[in-house]
Amino acid sequence: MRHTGWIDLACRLLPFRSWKGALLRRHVEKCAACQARLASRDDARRLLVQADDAEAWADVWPAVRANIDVGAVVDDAIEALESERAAAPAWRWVVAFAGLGLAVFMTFAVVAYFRTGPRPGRSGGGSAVFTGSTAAGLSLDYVRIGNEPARTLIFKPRGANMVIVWAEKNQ
Amino acid sequence: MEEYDLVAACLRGDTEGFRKIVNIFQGSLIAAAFNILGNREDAEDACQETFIQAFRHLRDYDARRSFKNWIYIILYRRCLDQVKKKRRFRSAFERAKREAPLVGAPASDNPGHGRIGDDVLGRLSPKERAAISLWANDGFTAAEISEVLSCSAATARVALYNARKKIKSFLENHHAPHGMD
Repeated sequence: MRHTGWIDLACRLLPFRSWKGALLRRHVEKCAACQARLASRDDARRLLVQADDAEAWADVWPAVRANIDVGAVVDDAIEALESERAAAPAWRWVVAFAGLGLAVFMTFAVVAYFRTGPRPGRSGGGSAVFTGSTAAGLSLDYVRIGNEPARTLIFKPRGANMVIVWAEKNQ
Repeated sequence: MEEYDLVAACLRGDTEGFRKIVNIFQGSLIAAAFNILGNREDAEDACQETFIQAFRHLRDYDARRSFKNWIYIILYRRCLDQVKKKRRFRSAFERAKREAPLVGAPASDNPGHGRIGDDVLGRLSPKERAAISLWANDGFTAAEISEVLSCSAATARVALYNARKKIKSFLENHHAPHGMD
């Protein structure tokens, strides 16, 4: 009986499970003294729920049946969808490339619009003459767009350290 | 071979064949799930999910292997999922309880609470519970347990050894010893 303590210690100290497993397989499973220090099948069964007890708890078949029927319907639907997709893969690519082309075109169009907008010095461009800008304020003598006087609005948002000057053509 | 015939019948579209499979295994699967999870409702859920998953993957079943082991593998994975779900729920519940203490004590969610087995099984890890349940109730060997637990035979042996040792120590400390092997 004395060696069982050493076996316990070895099982605790051995660093690898494979070594512990080998010790259990080669010695503990065959040694009556070591087996007596472990719970027997009967001991364990007294604490565990048995199949006969659990059998009376519930019949899981109705729930399983309902789920496998629904599952079959869903599986069929997924299969049909997948076969549909597999049958016409080209359309997906056509739609994807068309979308991508449209996005690129729109980007170029927006960039081109802003790049070709009115600039100072060009015909149709605008000019503004400042009489002075100080820490106290800003004043504009006139603003022209395409050599025509423009309607001007100067706006200073409350609490903001900026002035917005909006000018547009007189219609 | 009877199980294999039933599986073959199911694959031919015979749902009645699967009903027979459910009837054969449901008692032992619910018992194993209860022994792992310690809760009757969770055990029934895990068992249902196991059968549903088994039915959907019957085509993947390799007839050269034991059907019983195959279905126990699925059950063990479903039980581990339940354990993880429960852990997440518990940590969220504990957090909620800390932030807003509940009025009154929460009801126990374990209908089997109070059994002697619950005390000792509560000290075992899910792997140890599964190992002892398969060994004691279903007569699995260490090699078969390792297949179900998806681990090495050495790991299964260590889990079984630890479980048997803890149960023995519990029985010696709390109850008069009964017949031993």
